Amino acid sequence: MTLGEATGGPGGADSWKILRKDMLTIGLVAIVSALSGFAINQFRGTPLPFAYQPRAERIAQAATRLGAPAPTETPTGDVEHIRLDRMASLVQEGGVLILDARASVFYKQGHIPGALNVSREEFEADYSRHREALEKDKTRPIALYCADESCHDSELVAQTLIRMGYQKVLLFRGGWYEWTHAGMAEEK
Amino acid sequence: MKAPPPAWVFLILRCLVGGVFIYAGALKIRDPQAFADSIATFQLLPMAVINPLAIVLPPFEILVGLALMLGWWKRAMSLAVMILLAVFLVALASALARGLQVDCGCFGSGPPSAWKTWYALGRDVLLLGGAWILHRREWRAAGPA
Repeated sequence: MTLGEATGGPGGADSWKILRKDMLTIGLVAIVSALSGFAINQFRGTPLPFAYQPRAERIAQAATRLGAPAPTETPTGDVEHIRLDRMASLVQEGGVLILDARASVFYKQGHIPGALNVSREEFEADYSRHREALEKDKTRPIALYCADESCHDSELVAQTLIRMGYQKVLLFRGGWYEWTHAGMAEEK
Repeated sequence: MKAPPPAWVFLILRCLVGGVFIYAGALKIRDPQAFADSIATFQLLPMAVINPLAIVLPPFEILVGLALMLGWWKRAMSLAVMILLAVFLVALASALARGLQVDCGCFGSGPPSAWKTWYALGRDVLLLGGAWILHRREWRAAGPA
């Protein structure tokens, strides 16, 4: 049975010819896509490099550019996981810096009252913007959160802050999801 | 013998499938780093391929979607859509089977969840069905067996 007979299409060798022609057309579109993709990338403000770097590596490099000690040095701070009730009382009492590790687009849609946006995604730019407030006292605890339990951004930001010499990071793993589902106050 | 559906049915189907691909490609082109991170979560490809793929795939989706909507090379473009969707489905199914938390990266990024993965799988199956109907029509129109 020929390809054409099997698929109800063109007969005999024609079906392979047509298939080959279609694959060539797809190949041509792919080449045009590749050329335009790389051209678009070159004209971006921040072109994507050809070599992929995992999120952890990217934030580590951002921290190095911000003057953090080498990752090989043993940090003295620690990360403590906290629950909703502790986070709520920290927000109410004030006295700790609250950081939102989500991307700015989500931060702007709503965040925990008083939280500063220091995202994993734009760590270098966000940290630089809030540098004065952050570095005033590195012994003061920092409360940190991101989207929810499955979001690893807060963990990455926490480890980076510890590497940068902050002594205590309180990580609220429940994140924005748990906060809003408990009906807690929001700020925009 | 049952009469074939009118031509406008296929036009709507082409616009639907093509439109989805244009939209998906446009979202990915806006944030290539996030798309690269999505590809990485599937743990299927070598690191060297991830960023080039994140750069090339979105314009390919847009061009294929546009060609399909405009009726250019309908047979080839519907075949391209079928191939893409088959690859996406295999990747999603593989991620589910391995219990990975992935974000399909299909329509911009957001927190991953198993529900989102199943939803993406279901949506891609529907799109594949649509593309198959389009391709079948053009393939049969190419000539009798």
